[in-house]
Parts: sequence; C-alpha cells; structure tokens
Amino acid sequence: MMRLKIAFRNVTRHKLRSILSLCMIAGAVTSMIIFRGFSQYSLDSLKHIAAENQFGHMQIGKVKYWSPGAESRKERMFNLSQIEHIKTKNPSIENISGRLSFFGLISNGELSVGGKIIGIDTINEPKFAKSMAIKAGNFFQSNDSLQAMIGNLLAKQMNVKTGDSITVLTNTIDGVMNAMDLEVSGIFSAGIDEIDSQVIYIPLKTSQRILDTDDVDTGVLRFNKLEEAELISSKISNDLKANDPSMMNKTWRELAVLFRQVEKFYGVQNRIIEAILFALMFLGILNTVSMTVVERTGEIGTLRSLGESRGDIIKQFLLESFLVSIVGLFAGVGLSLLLIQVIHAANIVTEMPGASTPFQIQIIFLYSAVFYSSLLAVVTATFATYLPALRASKMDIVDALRKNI
Amino acid sequence: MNEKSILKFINVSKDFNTSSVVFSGLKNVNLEIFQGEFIGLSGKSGSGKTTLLNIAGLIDPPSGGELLIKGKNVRDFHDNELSNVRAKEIGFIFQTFNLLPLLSALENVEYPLTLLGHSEKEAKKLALEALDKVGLTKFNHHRPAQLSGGQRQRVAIARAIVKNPSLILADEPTANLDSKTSEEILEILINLQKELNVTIMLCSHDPDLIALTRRQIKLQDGIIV
Repeated sequence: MMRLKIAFRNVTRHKLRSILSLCMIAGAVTSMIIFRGFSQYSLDSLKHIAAENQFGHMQIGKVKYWSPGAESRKERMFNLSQIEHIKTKNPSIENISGRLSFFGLISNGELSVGGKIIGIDTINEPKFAKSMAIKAGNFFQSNDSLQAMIGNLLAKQMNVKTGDSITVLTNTIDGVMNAMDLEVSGIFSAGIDEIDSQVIYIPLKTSQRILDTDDVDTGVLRFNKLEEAELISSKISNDLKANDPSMMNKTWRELAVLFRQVEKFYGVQNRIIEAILFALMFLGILNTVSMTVVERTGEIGTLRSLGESRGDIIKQFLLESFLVSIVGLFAGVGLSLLLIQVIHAANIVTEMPGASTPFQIQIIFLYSAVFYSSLLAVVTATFATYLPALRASKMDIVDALRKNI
Repeated sequence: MNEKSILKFINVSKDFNTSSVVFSGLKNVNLEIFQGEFIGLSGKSGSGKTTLLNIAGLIDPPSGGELLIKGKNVRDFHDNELSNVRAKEIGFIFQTFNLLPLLSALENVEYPLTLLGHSEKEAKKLALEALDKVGLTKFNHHRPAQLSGGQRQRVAIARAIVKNPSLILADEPTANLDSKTSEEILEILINLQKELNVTIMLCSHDPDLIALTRRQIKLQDGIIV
C-alpha cells in the first residue's frame, strides 16, 4: 500500500511529464485500434463481396477447370448431380447451385466488347442478388429468362440501360457459333473493377442453352455459417477424391486473390505502423524515466540506505510505469471510441485499390485490437522503464546519497 | 556496558580510486563496538569519519579486511542480504535529513516498518510512538518541506529508532542546525540512547558534541589515533 502511495505521488509529482508519457501510450493504443478497425472493416467488405457474391462460400469443380490443359471444354465440366452426395453428408451445407461461365462477345448492335458471362442459379443462390448493389432495374427472378444483369462500368462503356437488348455471341461446347439476344434487366455494382467492367450475369439455364449443355463449371456451396466452409474444407476434399479424383474444391479464400493480397498488405502495413508507434513510445518513456532517475538519485540513495533492495527500486519504477500505462490505456480506448464516432459522423469517403466504387470509411471497434494494443503498450512501457530502473538500482549508495545535498 | 558485540572491524581499509591516484580513506582499522555504546567519531575533514560510518552502515564495501555484524561476516553477503541487515539492524541519521519529500512526517517514519513487513495499522502505531519520543506529534501530516530543519531532523531520528535497530549511525546530525536546535537534537539522542539502550555512532566536527559521548574515537588520515 505504501509503495502504491509513493508510486501515485511520484506519478503526480511531475504532472506534465506524466501526461506526456500517458499521451504517448494513449496515442499508440488509439492508432492501433483505429488502424486495425479500419483494416478489419475493409477486409470484411472484401470478404462479403468475395464469399457472398463473387465466388460463394466454396466451389467444387473439375481439377482441369482450375488448371486447364489441352482437354476439351466438355471435359472441364460436370453434372451437378455428381456432387449431391456432398450435401447429404454435410448438414451444414445449405444448398449447392451451379454456375456456368464463358467468355464471349457482348454486342449492343453498334459496339461489341469481350466480356465474361456468368450463368447463375437464382433459385438456389437466392442471396446472391441481395449481396449486390443494384444500380438500376432488377435482378432477374427466373432461372431461364432471357435476361442479363450487366456491370455498371461495362454498361457505361456500351452505353446500355435497363430494357435495352444486347446480344451474346460465343461457341457452344461443341465448337458451334451461337448467339442469343437478351434484355438488360438491371445494372449492378459489385464494387470491384474486375467484375463491374467485364461481367454480365445471366440465368444458369440461359447460359446452358447458349453453350448447349446441361452441365456446369462449378458447384457453388453455401453453408449455414461462412466459417464452416474453411472448417470442413479438407473433409469435403477427401470425400470428393474418394468419389471422383478428377473433382476438387476451393474455399472462397483460396479463390479470392484480391482479398488475400489486401489481407497480406494490411498485415504488413499494420505491423510496420505498430512497430514505429511503439518504438517512439519506447524511446519517449525511456527518456522520461531516465530523467526521473537522475532527479531522484538522492531519494534512491536514501531508500537503499533504509533497506530497500535493488529489486525494490526496480519494482517501484515499474509500478509507477504501470500506473501511467493503465491510465494511458483507458485514455487510448476512450479516445479511439470517440474518434470512431467522429470519423463515422464525418462521412469520409475513400477508394480501395481494385474497387470500382468509393466507400465510406467505417471503423470496427475490435476487442482483440484493444487487448493486443494494451498488452503491447504495457510490455513496451515496462521494458522502457526497466532499463533506467535497473541503472537506478545499481547506483552506488554513497554517491547517490551525496545528491541529497 | 553490555559486552554483546554489535560491530567488529578487523583490519578494515578503504581505498578510493581517482583517475590518477589511489587514495586511502581508511587504513587497517580495528575496532569493536558493543551494544549500548554511545560513540563519538572525531577528526578533521577527510580523516575517514564518514567512510567509517558508511562501511558500518553497509552502504560502502570495505576494500580490505573483515566486518562482522553481530558476529556475522558480511563480506560474502549478497546485496539482498545487506539490504535486509540495513532494514533490520541499522538506522541512519543524515546531516541533510534525507526525508522522502512526497511522504508526510508520519509516513516517513512508517516507511522502514513497511520494509520489515509490519501491517499498516501496526506501522502507524509504532511511528506515532517514535514521533512522540522526539516530541513531534503535532506535525504528523506535514511534509518535509513544511517543517523546519530541527523538525526534519527529529523526524529523521524517529525514522531511525522506529524499527528498534541495533545500531544508529549519525553523520554530522547537527551540522545544518542552529546551536539551540543542535542542543535539543543532541539531548534527544542522549535520552533515546539511555532509554532504548541502542548503540549510537555519531561523527561530528564539533568537539563539544563529541565530548558528550561516552566513547570517543579520533581518526586521522584514515587511522584511529
């Protein structure tokens, strides 16, 4: 209790100096919570686009579909009934739907551009449409209507709007040229350049009609919870291999290259920022405590002559540092909560690499970031205090006592 | 005089290394101090008085010889053991008082007891008793900066006696005080020594003060003469 009393009084002895240390800790904690919260929001957004829209939770397809060789297109496709057993064995799978995509020419009569046409089963992928921002018109409801949803950047390039007619031209799987007129039912934005500038979605059956097949490229699996996809991925992989070695599965994360790149980028960026912040905090506290040690040399001599051990001296400084750290942590967490509100209220809009539409900056308050930053701040402050405290504890007692004069 | 040995110097010497020369602070000092003694160390500046007190107080290790405290040779003591001996057995009274500025008079006196593991309640009770012995109960809650020099030295004396040590070391305890206050402080020390039968080693330049002690030791150039 006495030690705590002394620690508290020492902390408040030089208020400005303590406030400076406290600000360094609070600043580092706040920055870390904000950076991590923003990264998490961005990653969650990308994850949502990738898993709910672009790829689904998991895809199953022929090995050759993902690593094509000289085989025919037909050999890279399969009938959806071939993977029905996967759903039966895994109750966490909500549904399996097919997708059939191809590259072709999309024409509005005046202009023809190359694009990717993706056939979607809107009955078995009911949430697909909901996860997409519809800029104009509606998502097609029927699985065999002659309609298309076109990416907003592609629509702009081709100067088409809802209700317009476009023609899709490609080869059937037997190599025969085929074309089909489709009505633009709506214009969407997936938020990613790659999709919005070259993709059109059409009903799965329409896609099968154009390619003249009943097969699909991929089976898209939707789970009760997204996390399930990664948890039982290897089990599904084993099931598939046992049944048909030519089949394989990929989770949304394996398919989402952009997500993985951004995740890695944020990981590296955040570590570098955190390292700089905590290095500055370390040097700041080291300097502050070193100054304190010099000023308190006489007192240290007195305490040692009264019977305090070297360990006691170190403990005293560490306790003072801990008190400042705790207050700094609370201040940092409070400040980050306030900053999050301010940032949200300010409606700051930014663009992400690869994204087609600007988005409002949102910051998620992560308890994991609070825990991690607190731990890092306490460890850094402790280590920055320990070095000068160790020096203080090793002072010659007689020399230290002379400073009392 | 009780024959129980408190402190024994056997051929104790102390050398100070400066950048160019080695200076001998103490040269082969042999001295035995017994419980209840009131010893006055005299000598000119640089004669080795403070060095002898610092070695006796285990805050400065001797360069040679042996030092026995209650029969135990402290030469091989680890720093923690030396701290324990200081905490239990030795009380310091400094010329510059050396009170902890952030603690009140009462807390300054309580502090050594907390190092010995006394409860807060017990420490407070003993500290109040010690302050009463030096006649300073009215200023318990004053911080050192709010006290006069004489009052500070009384607090320092209370801090030294509160743990009932075997040995009190007083280095020029009246040097910073006026003559009237010096007399009062000295009277307190003499009375406490009698009352508590504690061993006191006091060093001073003042021959009148040394004359009041029961055993006088004179140092000259690091040698007892």
